[in-house]
Amino acid sequence: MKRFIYTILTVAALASSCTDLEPKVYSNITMEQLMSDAEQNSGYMLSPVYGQMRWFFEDRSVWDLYEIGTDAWVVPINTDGGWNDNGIWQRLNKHEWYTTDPHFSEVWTHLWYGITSCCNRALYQLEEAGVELDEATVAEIKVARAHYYYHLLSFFGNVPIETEFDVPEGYLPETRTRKEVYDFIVSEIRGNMDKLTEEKTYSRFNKWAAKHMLARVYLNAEAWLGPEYASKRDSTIILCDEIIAGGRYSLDDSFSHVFSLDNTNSPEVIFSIPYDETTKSPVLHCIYAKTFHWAGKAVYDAASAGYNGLRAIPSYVEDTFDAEEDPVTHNCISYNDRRYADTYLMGQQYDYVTKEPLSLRLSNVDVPYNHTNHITSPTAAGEFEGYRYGKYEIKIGQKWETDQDWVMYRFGETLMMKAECLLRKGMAEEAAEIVNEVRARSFDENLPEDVRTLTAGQLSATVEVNGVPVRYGEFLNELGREFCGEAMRREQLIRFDDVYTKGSWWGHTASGQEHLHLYPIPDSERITNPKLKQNDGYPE
Amino acid sequence: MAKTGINRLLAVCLAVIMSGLAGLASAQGFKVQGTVTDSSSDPLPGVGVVEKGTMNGVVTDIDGRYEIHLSSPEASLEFSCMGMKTKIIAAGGRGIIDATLEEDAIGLQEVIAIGYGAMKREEITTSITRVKSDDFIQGGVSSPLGLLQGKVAGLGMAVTSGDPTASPSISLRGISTLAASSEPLIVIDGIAGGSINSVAPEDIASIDVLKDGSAAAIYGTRGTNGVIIINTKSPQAGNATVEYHGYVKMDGMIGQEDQLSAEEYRSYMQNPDFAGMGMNDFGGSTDWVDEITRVPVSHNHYLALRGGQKNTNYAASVTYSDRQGIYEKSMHRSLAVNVALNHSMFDNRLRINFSLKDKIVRDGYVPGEIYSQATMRNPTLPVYDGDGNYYETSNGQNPVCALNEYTGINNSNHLSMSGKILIEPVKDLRISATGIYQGDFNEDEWAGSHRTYAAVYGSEFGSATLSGGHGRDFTMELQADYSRMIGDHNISATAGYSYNRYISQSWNMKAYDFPVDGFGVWNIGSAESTLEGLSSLSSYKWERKLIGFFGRVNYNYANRYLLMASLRREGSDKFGANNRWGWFPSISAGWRISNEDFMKNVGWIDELKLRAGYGVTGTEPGSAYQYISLYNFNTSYMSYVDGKWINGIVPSNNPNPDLKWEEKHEANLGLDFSVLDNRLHGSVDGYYRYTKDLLYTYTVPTPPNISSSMLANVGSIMNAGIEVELNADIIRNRKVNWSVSSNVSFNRNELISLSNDMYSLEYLKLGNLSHVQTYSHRLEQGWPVGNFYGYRNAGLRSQGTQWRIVGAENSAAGEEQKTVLGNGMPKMFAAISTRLDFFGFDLTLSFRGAFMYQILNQYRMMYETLAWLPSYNVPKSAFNKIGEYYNCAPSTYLDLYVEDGDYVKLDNVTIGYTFNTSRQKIVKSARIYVTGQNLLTFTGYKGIDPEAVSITGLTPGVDSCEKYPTLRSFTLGLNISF
Repeated sequence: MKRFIYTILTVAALASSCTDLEPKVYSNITMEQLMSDAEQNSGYMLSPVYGQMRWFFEDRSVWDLYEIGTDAWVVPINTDGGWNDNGIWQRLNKHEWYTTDPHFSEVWTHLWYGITSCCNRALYQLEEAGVELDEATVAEIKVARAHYYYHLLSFFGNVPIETEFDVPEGYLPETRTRKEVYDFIVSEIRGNMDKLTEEKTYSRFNKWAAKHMLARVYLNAEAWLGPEYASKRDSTIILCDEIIAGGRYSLDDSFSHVFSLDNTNSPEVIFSIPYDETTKSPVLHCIYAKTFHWAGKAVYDAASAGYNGLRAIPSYVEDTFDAEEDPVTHNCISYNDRRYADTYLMGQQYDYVTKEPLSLRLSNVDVPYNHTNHITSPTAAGEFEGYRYGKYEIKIGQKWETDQDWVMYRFGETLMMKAECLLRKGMAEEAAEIVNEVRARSFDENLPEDVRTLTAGQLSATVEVNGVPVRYGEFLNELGREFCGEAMRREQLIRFDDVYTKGSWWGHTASGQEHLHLYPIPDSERITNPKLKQNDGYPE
Repeated sequence: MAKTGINRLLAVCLAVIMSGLAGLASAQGFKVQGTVTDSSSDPLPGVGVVEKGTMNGVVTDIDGRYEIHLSSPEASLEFSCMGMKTKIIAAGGRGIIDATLEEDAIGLQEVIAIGYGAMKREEITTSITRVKSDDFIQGGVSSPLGLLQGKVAGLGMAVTSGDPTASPSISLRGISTLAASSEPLIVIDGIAGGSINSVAPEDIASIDVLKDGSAAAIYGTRGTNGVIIINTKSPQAGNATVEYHGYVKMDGMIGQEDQLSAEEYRSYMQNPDFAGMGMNDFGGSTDWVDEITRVPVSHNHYLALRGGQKNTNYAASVTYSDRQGIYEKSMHRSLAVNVALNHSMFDNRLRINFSLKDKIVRDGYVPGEIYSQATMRNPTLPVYDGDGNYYETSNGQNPVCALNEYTGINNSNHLSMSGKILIEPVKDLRISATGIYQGDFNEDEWAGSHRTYAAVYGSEFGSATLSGGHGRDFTMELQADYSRMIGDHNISATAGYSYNRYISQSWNMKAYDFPVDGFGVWNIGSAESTLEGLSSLSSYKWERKLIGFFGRVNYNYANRYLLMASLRREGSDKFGANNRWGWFPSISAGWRISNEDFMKNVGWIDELKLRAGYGVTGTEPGSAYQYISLYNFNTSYMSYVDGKWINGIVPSNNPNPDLKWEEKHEANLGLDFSVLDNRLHGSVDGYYRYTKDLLYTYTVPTPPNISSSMLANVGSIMNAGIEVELNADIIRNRKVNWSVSSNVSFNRNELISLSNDMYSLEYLKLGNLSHVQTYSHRLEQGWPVGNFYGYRNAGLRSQGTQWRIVGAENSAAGEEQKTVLGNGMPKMFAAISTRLDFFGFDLTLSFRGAFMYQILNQYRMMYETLAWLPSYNVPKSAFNKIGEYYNCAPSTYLDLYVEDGDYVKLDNVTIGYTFNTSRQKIVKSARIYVTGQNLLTFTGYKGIDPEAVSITGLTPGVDSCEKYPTLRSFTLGLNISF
């Protein structure tokens, strides 16, 4: 027995030298590596601060929440049942969304990832690693973080404010009021914008991009927080004037050039979110994949076909633009505003190679590939019905992986923000002057003046938009023409006499429910964090 | 000897030692010699022959002969051998004593693998089911798991696919884990963690299924889902035997969805009721399912050689398998070699085993969606257009094109090498060291031609993905066994150490836009995407380590009271330093009531044993490194900074430093019985499993977390059940034998909690029904796993274009209207099979069934509506009115499509004939047989095959549209040995 025990002990002793369980990592960067090489890696660690913003324009992300559910864009159910998706697009359109709908959780996740992982974490870890970031870089990260918060403020309003990455175990963020979030964003931008470079940076926040963003936050403050914030329009004017006086940006001579493949060289672009075919996912979804018919490949000799989803709402096209349509064929006959053709893909499409008109054989009939401004119904859209998103230049050989750069903030908007504030302050003449300055490039100069320009009277009048009287309604229409599809429409409709909930348009009936100004806090988040409060008007 | 024997090896080895000792001690005694044979007069080597009541014993040689010197001519001889009834013969002064041993009818003497050892069945105190090769499912079974179908109570199994490369899905005693796999641990000839498909079914002698926690706990962390121990046919001393087994198999479809034929489609088109439904006649008449299928013919050949002397013996086999799938290109070809060599020397005190298994496989696979595309495609669409191109529409890819123009091939090699050395330095103590290498190499080719839908309409003008992987698994095991008998006390003990390291390497390259068609994956450098820098390349390597110390003690008092206790201390590098090591104890006890004195007079009871056991097993996370912060480059977070694209470094996980073992505690109570001269025997087991600290990827709040999911130990789950196995030998005589065996099992499952102090969660939404954009199951505290959760319908409204939902009859329904619609986990499995042997013929019938569960019929959910008519084909049932309307509503997840899944299958019928080979000397045995599999299904389920539905995981019971249909097959086989 002794020998037996001895043997066991020998075996055990032998074995105990083989109890090393330290894991070996091969294909990842460990925390130790990250921290010890932080100086050298800081560029890679900071890249996601902007990289994450490319997710805003993916399917079911930020762009969708700004544009779908407004009077401008719709994703109907196709006659073949496509885009039914359990009704999520229909509910957006009708403002009957559920707290469980995927758009809200996707957007929430994208925005918070930008804040916690891309900004807060990078700041914390670089500091921990002893990497000295210069003041301008820290300021830039904080402004970029404010950019994520701005969308949270616009969509969800009442959200937590988190600036620390290193939190105690079990820590759960609490809902802060929309006003607190607003104050935080304003103070972050104000406190940092003047530390940023004044040079043009295109895809990074410089001083001017920060000021532009702040101007937009101020512009919406009244609609978000109440009439006492009406005075913020003065701040918007000051910020816009600073950008104008800075002299770095000017209106592009050509409207379409701003959205071209060459827009890197447009003098109008203040801040853009660039994409490249080689960087693959995420992609700019709305400009091609979501909207083009699959037969659209032939039009651009494209490598990928579209999903035939996103379409322009016919009533918007009809009411907003000065164009004439054949009432029977719904084909456009004539238009004066060049932005009409620069905004939509419409009419008969032609094969890029043969230049022949395209058609598709459906139900034994050749149906011409012709986008008309008519959709049978939101739940039964024919193959080619409806105009398509056509603002960005499509590349010959276009892929799902986009090469276009999204224009986030542009000088044209700087001018129009100023004009809107002047108008609201009663300075309609000054406003009209700016509006016409922006309009000028979009009209043939031989056209009569009353076609090319808008008067102060027209701009300050109350006109009917989407069936309800709207103060400065023509200015809203002008915003609709200039910025169609640029992820601004929801804010515009809320800002102008709440057309968002009071107006009715094709496929959408007015609800008058003001709580819809805020989207619901996604269910999935509230399950995991009981400290998040649901926005008013939504089921607890 | 029988009393003292612990296991077969021990019995043999002790006998050998004793014979040595006896040779010295009583060389001058009374000499007796003879031959030991079995009932068919074949010599039995290795039979222990002992002078009763002494230590004097010998072992028969390969011809069954023995010679022993007895202390007295009046002594008695005890003959014992595994699988045979022990026989005692009084010498009575005779010099020649021949013995014929009878096979043990119920194999109580059988040696059962119990993990790091083996034990006589009669001494087992845990819940273990052995299935011997005689009882295996017959007829072209491709996976060893298939051999067990319906043979083990509590082992739920479903053949969910007719794919020749697929294995059945299995679950043992319900679902006791959420995140990890529910696959049992596979142990092949003592090598844990092997791939079940690396063994040829023909090579298997028996399979032991360790079901309860006290049985599996010796495997500690990997035994939570039970252990399946596969024992291959081992080398046997004796004349060389050559065995050949070959079969040819043909498959056919069981049935198909009742979608419209072109003719029916046109006749509905003429029907004024359906005018304006948007039906399209494209002028063709195509039976799409017929276009993509064929009658597959498979064949399989197994050749084995076994033989050797007492000290050195060998077994070698080669298996070639060529299995065709129902689709062209769907196939499995494999060649497997299995070699085992044993040698013993120094009076059996040193033993060496080598084993080498290698299997090369070439699998062909097809796009997963072709069957669903075939069932939903408009039957009036032609296959080709006038120019010979594939006729394509926007409504899904032409399945003939998908089948022809994509090529998927997976080449793999599974190698297992092991060597074992065992020494016996002193009597009763054996020390062994085992080294094992298991290597899996795999290379996958997937290529699309210039004619695919993606090439013509999408962005990839020819595409190629070449990926590969190499898994290396190193194991070193040291083990010491000691056994001792003191009077009626029989003690044995085992202690050991196990070191296991697994390294995985994988790589992937993908390119598209090929200038020339036909390269497949073998010229990725020529692709336009490569030239443009758009091809993707990736590689990944990871490893994990598992270290265990284990020990076990068995105690047997007078063959009446049995006790087994084991303990394993196991460490895994998947946990942080504080949580790395876990204790996994077990204890079990048995009482052989039938051996008690008071039972001596109860003649009709042959065996009665009560067992009770309790054991703890652990589960580690599926993937490594989950507790440490890891970062990686990710192009999704690239940004364009100062004119350059800069890659982004982002966290690649959401680490949980507190990660620890998931623990399953299981209690088992069982009764083994054998009565009426062993004509009726079986067992009853009841168990209770409680798993705590469940590992699951929980949703965590963002912020503060960087991403919304984290692997954490939260919650607990319970399974309880009863298993009954009952076997009867109804007729038992020389010419005719008739036996019936059956088993039934019930399981109840309940999620007890999903919360702890850190995370609180009331329920999980599970299962993505992507076609209707909703989830299928909900798992809530207090519920069983697998509850379907959705709307109940109250008929159609709005001219049939919308469903009326119970609770929201005239408005849009929300989450509040959803209720439990059923459960996808069968609560009861049952099987019965019968075998009749008469005059050389044998007839086997097997019935199998699963009961008390529901299936979500996705095909009906998707296509049983006329709303699809403009785009797709629909089943005939879509033309039945529901209430006053035809269903024209969009596909909706409703109670209507959750059907009862209960079924009974006539699963297997085999008729064989065994030739009488006694009149010649060349052929030792020969048998031919025919088998029909999956012959008849009795069910109310409206889909093709209720069994073709996965019943494992957290979302069981979903009959997907994208299936590989299950098949009916007929096999003709020959088994011959020389």
